[in-house]
Amino acid sequence: MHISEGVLSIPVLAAGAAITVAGLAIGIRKVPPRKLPKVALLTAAFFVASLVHVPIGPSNAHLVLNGLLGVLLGWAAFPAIFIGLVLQAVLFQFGGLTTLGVNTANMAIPGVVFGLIARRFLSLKMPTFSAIVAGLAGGMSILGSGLLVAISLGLSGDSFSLVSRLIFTAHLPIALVEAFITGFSIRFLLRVRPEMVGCTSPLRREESAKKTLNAALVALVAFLMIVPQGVQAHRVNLFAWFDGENIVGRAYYSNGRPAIEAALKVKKEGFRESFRLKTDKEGRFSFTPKGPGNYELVLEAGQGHMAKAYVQVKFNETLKTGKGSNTTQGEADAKGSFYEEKERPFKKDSVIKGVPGSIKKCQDMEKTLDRLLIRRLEPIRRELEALAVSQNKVTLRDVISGVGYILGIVGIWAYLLSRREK
Amino acid sequence: MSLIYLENISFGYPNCGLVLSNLDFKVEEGEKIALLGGNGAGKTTLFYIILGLLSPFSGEVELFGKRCITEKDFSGPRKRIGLLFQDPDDQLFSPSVIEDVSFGPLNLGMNRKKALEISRYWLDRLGILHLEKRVPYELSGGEKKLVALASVLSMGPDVLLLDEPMAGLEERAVERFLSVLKDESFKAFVVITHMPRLLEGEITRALFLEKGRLSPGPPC
Amino acid sequence: MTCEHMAQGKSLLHRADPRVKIMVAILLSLEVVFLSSLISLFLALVSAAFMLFSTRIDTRLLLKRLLVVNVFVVLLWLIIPFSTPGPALFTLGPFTLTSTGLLLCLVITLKCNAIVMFNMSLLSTSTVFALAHALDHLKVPSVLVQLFFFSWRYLHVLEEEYMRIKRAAVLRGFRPGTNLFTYRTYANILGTLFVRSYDRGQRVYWAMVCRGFDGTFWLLQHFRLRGTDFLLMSFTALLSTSLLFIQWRS
Repeated sequence: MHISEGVLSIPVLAAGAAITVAGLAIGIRKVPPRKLPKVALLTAAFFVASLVHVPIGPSNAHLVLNGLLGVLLGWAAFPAIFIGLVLQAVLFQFGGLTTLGVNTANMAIPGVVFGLIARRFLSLKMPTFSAIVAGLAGGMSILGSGLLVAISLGLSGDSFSLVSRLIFTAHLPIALVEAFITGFSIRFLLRVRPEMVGCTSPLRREESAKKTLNAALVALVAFLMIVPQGVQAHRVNLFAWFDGENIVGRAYYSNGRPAIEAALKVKKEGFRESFRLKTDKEGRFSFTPKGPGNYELVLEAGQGHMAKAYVQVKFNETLKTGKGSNTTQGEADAKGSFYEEKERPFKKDSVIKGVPGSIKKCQDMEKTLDRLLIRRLEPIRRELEALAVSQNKVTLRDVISGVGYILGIVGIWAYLLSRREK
Repeated sequence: MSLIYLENISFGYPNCGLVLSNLDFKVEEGEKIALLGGNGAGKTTLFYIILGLLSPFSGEVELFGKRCITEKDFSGPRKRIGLLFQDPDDQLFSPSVIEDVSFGPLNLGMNRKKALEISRYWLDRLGILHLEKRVPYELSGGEKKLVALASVLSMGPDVLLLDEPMAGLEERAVERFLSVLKDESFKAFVVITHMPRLLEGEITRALFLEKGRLSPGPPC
Repeated sequence: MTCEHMAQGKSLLHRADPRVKIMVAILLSLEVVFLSSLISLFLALVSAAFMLFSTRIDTRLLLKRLLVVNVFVVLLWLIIPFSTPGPALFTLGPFTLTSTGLLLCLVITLKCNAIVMFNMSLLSTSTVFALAHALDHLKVPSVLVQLFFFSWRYLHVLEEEYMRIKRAAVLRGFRPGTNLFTYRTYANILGTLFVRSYDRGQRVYWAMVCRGFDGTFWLLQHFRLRGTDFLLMSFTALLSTSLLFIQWRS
């Protein structure tokens, strides 16, 4: 799947370009003049294959075959896919110059990774097993591409989350077809021209050492692919603070989306019993704590997502005595929806009665002042929160583009080295 | 000294058995040989082995009196032996006809002007100078064949190995081709053909390749 | 094969030096990506359309290509205005249309079309061979240029080969459907294509070696800058500075 021009954000485009430069540098080193026409001819063959439309149910899809390319060409699949995309851009105007990097990386990385893995298992003696392994590689390569496309979109902005999920889903049937075609093609090649799959000579020792190195590289790339995914999926952040009356806070995932209706477990230090509440639609929550002390908040957002926060509650002496259940209720109404989650048992407990009149006036004033201050500070606090959220996102993107830049520099270095060798 | 001397050559492809078995082949100066044989007899394979593109299972290859084993040994003689491929599409890959024909001379180290001059001479000689600026893959089959021939001749080879040079050529083109064979002073040539009659009078002997061995063919 | 249709023509852009065109295309595409103000994007789109118009390529072909490009954009228009958080314009059942989303879609549409139009008017007006030559002059790694150029050279041969194999299969009663037999047949057809390509690649290399190839490609042609190219360069300079200026002011 191509991502069109003008959609992705600049860091994503830059990271894609950097990864592609690195991939190209490695790929080019794997193409000595002797192999150049072969790689070129296979590139052309894949370009032709990508124009083939294969029926799936009522519709049809064109083949990508990045998995098969990876199996047949290994690292050289990088330049092959890059050139295929350049030709498409020039001849059919699919995609353009700025997305060339991202699109190449999205297709080539899974192809090369799964292709190199599958190549280790291919053998003439077990054609059916080899075909199945290759088929898996073909299917996984498409799924991997779909995932990378989704990630590229997802990292470019929250608006694309739905689009990226749709696109990933659209890759599922294609992956199935590609798995079959890749598997059958490999079986055909094993029967007709096994040396194309690298299956003629038994492995020599140095070759196997080389292969181990390759496998390590592959594992590294796979790791790099999976890690950002993991970071994104498994982190949920919990923000909580005491505003003088209530413990309020927000829960959000590291991509900035709120954790909606997530279960929150609250425990006070020194007490056995705990109670539960849920976050609202914006991921916010609020409750009135039972006396001063340290509170432990545990957020469980499902699928093993967990976050903890500790809040220290210290009541101002005067404020504490002036606390009444009615005013708390009124406060909640005034603040509107995001304070709506209240735990009743705590409220009952926090009722304190019997305060003399004259002091009450003074205390009332202080309380109003406090409340005013909190209300005034609220926008600033929200802004800080938003800043924290965006900071968090920037870091994640930076990690990925940083990895891309490093790979890019390594690639340029590799390219220079290869020049010197000539 | 023989120009080409093959001794006891055996070669086969995977799953196919031996294509050539204990074959001997010799080309002396002044010889003009027609190589005949059925489809899949191994005629093209024999050419590939002469030029060291395929290495035989056993046997020796000697070119211009020197034994050739490694890739380096072959690189010298390759410049003196011109091979015309059966499919001209294998041979032509440049953006224009003139660039394709001058590919060889440039590789030989000629300067641009000289290479262009020689290329134009051979295009003219084969009657296709008007195709100079055309894109090779857009030409017809016969035209491609002539361009490929020009691209071999422009290197000034001593010996020619021609793989079905006349297939798909129109009558006038065949005449021009034959006149080149007659007038130019090649030391020797070997022609694979299914139409030996067209070559009548141009060749000194015919050989028949069958079951991996060469035998004297029918006289033309 | 529907290929270099756009490369045929005699307009100014067709005659310009492909080296200059490639550099201009890269510069303008990158600049458009960085733009965010609507006015500058509109200016970019209008100038791209103007350049495209000046090539005098068949309008129907242009529209067809642009339509294909915009399929993805239409998909975005259907989803993004509703999935972007922001001030609501109106609510329809569970869907809320936000102005932020609409703005984002507009920006994407402008960027996408501007870049593709620059691409069409600058790159597609050269033949692939001219582009390959130009890339070589621009010091792109030689292996990459050769791969580009060889792939293109044999694309037609392979496509014909594929069509021949496919036609033969169809003549023997092959009807594609959603079943394993179809997929296996396609796999065999493609496998045959790959084997033939592989063998041909081998022969192409041999043919080159026989003609003295040792890894270096010698160039016969050289480009020379002409009036057209300086015109194009000054137009680009003017356009890119004004785009940047508008972006900076807003």
